[in-house]
Amino acid sequence: MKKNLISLAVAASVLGGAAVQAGQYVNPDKTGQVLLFPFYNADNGNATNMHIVNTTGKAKAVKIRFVEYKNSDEVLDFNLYLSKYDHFAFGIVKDPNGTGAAVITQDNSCTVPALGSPNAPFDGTATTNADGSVTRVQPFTNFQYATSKDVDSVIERTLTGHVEVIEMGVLTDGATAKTKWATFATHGATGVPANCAGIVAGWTSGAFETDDGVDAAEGGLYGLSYHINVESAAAYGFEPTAIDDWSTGATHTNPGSLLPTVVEGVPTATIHTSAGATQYTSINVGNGAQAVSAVLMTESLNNDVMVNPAIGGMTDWVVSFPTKRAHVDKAAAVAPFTKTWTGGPLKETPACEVISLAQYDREEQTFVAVVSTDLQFSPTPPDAPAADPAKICNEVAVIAMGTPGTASALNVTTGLSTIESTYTEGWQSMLFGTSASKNSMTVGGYKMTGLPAIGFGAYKVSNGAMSYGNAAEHKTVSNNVQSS
Amino acid sequence: MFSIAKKSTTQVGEFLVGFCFLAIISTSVSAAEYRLFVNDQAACSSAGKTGSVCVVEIGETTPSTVTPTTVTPTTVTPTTSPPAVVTTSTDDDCVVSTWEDCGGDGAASPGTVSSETSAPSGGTVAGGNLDFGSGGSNAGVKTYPVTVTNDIIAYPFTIIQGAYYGTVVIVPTSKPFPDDGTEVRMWWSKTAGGQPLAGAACSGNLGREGSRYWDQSGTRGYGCTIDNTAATLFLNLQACISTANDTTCSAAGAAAGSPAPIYLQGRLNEAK
Repeated sequence: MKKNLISLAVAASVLGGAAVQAGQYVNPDKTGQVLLFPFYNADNGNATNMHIVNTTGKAKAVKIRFVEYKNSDEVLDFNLYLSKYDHFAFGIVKDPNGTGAAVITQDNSCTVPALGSPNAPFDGTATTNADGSVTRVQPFTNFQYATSKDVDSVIERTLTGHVEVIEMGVLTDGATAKTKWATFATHGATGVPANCAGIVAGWTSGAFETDDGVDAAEGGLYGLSYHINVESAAAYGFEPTAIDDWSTGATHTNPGSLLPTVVEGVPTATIHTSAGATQYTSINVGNGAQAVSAVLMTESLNNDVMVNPAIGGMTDWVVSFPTKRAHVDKAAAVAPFTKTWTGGPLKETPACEVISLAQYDREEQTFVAVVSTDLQFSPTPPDAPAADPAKICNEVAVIAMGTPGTASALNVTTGLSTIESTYTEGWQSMLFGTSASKNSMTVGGYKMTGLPAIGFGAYKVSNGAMSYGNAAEHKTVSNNVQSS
Repeated sequence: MFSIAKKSTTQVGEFLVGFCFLAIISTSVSAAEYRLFVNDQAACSSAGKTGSVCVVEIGETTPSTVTPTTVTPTTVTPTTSPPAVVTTSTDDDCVVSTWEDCGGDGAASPGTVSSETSAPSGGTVAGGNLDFGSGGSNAGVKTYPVTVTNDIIAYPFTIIQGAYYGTVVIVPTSKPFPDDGTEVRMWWSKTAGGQPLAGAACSGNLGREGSRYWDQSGTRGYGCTIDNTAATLFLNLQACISTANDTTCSAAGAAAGSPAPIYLQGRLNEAK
């Protein structure tokens, strides 16, 4: 359904119901105020390259945030000031001077701080190339979890994660020559911002505290990404989930701050009810975290599996929960998640959620694993499958289809897990919870089942020395919603 | 765009009283002056009050620990706030008023108390120096490091008339957040540390990361509804160990929380 149809449906709902502002929603047009890239990885020579594009004719202030895979602890963020119609490209690679990940770019768009700056002990570098371009490398850091008493405080934890892009607002020109923020960010004929130093000075001088420099966010950002390993000769394209109407105002915040975060948008959400004449309904969730979760909720993820050894088939599923931290890094878990995360100090207790898998081959044959939570006749068969139910524990899970030890199609090792695949070709459904006890949350008068999940399947085949990769976004079941 | 500082520069000056208080604060209104005693049964008893928490008119008793000295405020009393009554103490390390403390991080010294209080958990109330209200001066691009403790930090939340709405957000810092179950509660009230305003959205358990919304414009349909009239409310923060749905650290069995370092930010918007 197109955005305008969603808007009409929401308007109809609002007119017929409580006076709730239309809430944030996943924009099927793939543009928005917030972009959630489900994955990055810098293992084993991998690079994940990302583009962020401003499709509008207005300059924008944007927060780029990288978070690690276990608990979405932030590992780096910076402010990006996009010119109108700007295109910002960067890669995430292994730090050439360290063992964690780093962002690398030759883009001219204005960032604050400038990428390639000191940030001891994870200092960046800026190298001028023969053609005059500058290659900037800014390593990720472990400050947020290493000093938080996490057992796993190594910098290598930054090698896998996901990326949040948040529009903080539309840049405006202030009254004085020193506050022409939109003009400063605009690229001239040479392709560089007119005055990035002026924007930097806006922070160092405190001018942004007098005039925050932005109007309310309007959306219009899109992103794309591809994960590549040159040696293994395969690349996988994927796109972020775009959320629109996330904020009604500006959220321009000083660099060096963890704000804004994706969970502080408006507390209203437009959810897919698929019930009656109104397919979409705007609800007051009450808090930003569950509002984002509401628009991402899916009862299950569904996608292909292809591990046919005749063609060297490999399949990874990337499953990410962009809001999980806000639900589990607490004294008590908040629905729809059920377990809390503890990083230390003595041991790590991950917030694992049970999943139920149904696997199908290409001819409708199916296999559903029997787990200990299911009722069984006694005595149990001698070849009973694994007793423990499958679980997903990390906020970014990369799951290779195969027996333990199976290599990853994406060439990932950090945070990699496996799921055995019964069939060499077919598809799989991953239900959150069990059929008898699905994950769910009830907010704004609706009970919705599942978890707020995004991701994609990555497929690799080999033909002699040549290999090929492709990726396909997971198919979701977002409409299993009941009025409560 | 709505520029906070443009609107409120004058008010900032009015608020900066620039004195501090410590341990026990005397609070005066135009005709009488009162002191709040917390966990001081002896002082309450000598004033003829029962219990360990009491409000005593000056003259009824003399504090046993600190003798405040009243001084003249150096700036005018703001028109949208309670009387700016200031006292100093014998401790010359700190000079704050209800609206200004000595800490650079927005957190007041533990143990300080401000005017008329009704702490849900019986904890003391610390005066904060930030004001994220529509008439305040701190909502905007900055974030403020604050350590929330079992003492309530009561920030003034100044309201001026207009179609305003906003957000208050907390996020963890790089400093270790306590892992003993401590979580941060936040609520708006009419008095420092007092009972929350009516409505489920006017108080919340934010944990270590979260946000709450307020609306005086009547246009949002969500958040804590605040009357669109000039007033000074209070935004209260307290760290405690309690049930998840305890939004003011007032549930039976609520225990003192450990010091919880956070970043705090307020945002202000104007409905168009």
